Amino acid sequence: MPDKIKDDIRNYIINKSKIQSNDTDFNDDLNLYKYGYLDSMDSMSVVFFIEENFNIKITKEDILMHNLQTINNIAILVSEKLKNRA
Amino acid sequence: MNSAVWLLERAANKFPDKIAIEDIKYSITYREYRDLSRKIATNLLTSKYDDCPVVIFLGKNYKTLTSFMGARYSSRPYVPIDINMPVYRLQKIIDSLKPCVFITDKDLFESLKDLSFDNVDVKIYEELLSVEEDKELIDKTISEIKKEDNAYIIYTSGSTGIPKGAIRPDKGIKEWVDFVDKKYHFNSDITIASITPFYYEMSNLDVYYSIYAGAKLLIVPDVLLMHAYQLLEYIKEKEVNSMFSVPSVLINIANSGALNNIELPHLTNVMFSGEIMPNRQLNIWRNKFPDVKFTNIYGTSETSFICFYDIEREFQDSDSLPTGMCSDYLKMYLFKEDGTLARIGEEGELCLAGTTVSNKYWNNPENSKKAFVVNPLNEKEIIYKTGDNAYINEYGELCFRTRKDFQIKKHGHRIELGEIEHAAMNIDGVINAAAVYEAEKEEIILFIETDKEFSLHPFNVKLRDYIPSFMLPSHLVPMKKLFYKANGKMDRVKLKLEFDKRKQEVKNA
Repeated sequence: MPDKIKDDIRNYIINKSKIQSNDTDFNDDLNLYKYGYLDSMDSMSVVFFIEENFNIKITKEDILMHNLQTINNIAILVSEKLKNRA
Repeated sequence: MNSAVWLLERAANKFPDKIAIEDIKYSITYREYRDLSRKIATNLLTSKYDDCPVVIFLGKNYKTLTSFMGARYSSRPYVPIDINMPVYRLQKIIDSLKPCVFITDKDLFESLKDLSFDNVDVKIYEELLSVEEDKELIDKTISEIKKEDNAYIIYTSGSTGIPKGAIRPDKGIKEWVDFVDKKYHFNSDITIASITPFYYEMSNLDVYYSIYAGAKLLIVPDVLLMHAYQLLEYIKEKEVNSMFSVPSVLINIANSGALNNIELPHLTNVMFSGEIMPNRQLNIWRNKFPDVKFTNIYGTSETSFICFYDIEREFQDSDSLPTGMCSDYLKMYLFKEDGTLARIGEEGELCLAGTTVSNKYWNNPENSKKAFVVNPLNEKEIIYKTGDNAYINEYGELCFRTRKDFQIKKHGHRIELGEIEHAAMNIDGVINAAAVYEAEKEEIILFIETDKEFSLHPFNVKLRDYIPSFMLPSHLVPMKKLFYKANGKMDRVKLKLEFDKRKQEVKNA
């Protein structure tokens, strides 16, 4: 998977939640909602961001099938969508 | 024929092959709903337990609902628990509840290895179904269920750090279900979207009214609730007629613009409860669906549903939305601070009595004594003090003001700030803690007294061991010393000013 996708998503979340660079708990497999890095009200902004940034459309099946609570899972969905489009 | 289990008997006889429940994976008919519940009850009855509570730890699916009814068919109260609850908090509930049975499934049981189950029999859902139904035993058991028996216990946040269990008597369910049916007359062709998780009192309107009507209960996966566009697509595809949700879901949909591009021809009823619904967002809904009936419902875990207010007249965006009047199965009092009753326009604390109202918390005399008191106007009556301040407007409708105490409502969750403070003090290096709520932004600010360096996110990772995600603060303010008043109490007003000052400094920097 191109790292650019993951970097974009990670940077977006770091900026949005003002995550500090010395935060050792923060990683790509962390459940962002469980630990309060994002709250439920942020989830729509995350989807808007990936839809716009990668020019894809997220359907209700995508939401149901993928657990979009970690950076890695979001990145996997985005790469799949981009691959299917190509 | 008073018990709520008879509602399911009736539905299974009248509509045996109709879909009763559809969750993300499975659908079951009313016949299956009854048969599964009776099997579970048979299993529970053949093990020798007293009439102690049955914990249901299964998530948002048909297994939970059949376990609810299975517990009731065995004449025991059930206790639904959030499967994402930290083990620490769950342990506190188990310790105070003292259940005899804990129903879960294999996968979830794996996540509970740190929980200690003294004298609790853990049952795996699938294994419960391995017995044949003992029809005679079940028929006898349900014919003996009394109106006064406890139907279920719902745990809510407690200020002492220990969640408290509100008890619902069986008769309370029948009371409001009859009332709701007189009002809405749902029939068996209806699809009701079940949005609220089953460990909240609110969900019982969906659970019991769907059975009453013989309607289909469509269990909406939690993850969709956060995504307005996709949620509406789902509601459209499933031809939902009625939905009942906390305002935050509806507000989110209205703000997102998702209503512009969708038609929901099957939708007839939208109900909401749990916090105040702003007219600005409600008007977006009302303009989009002029023929849909919108209902503002007020209730608490201790009282079940109290007011059902169908919204008919026009409201300006800036108006506050009334809650209507209490249902006829309740008596309502508004007590002013001086102990006298409030008159029209005057604010008072809402206190309630009636068949749906509990009279205590489960195994919790300390909290019970504070919330359930003798009515100063009638010493034979116990009233529940809601902690909500309200007044009657010129239309004779109840309208709410902000809460009286340290109990807040955030995105529909009822939270005691004290529980967050207690949790914070479990963390090494925290000497004292004060939580303050900024209602406008729906943000919790946590002040901690500490000599250590702490920052928000890593602190929340630690805090999540003790409290659920929705209680985590949005801001953390570590201080060498918190502010105290002369009497030793925490000075929350001064703390809030300190937060505003620090925020301003960051802005100016």
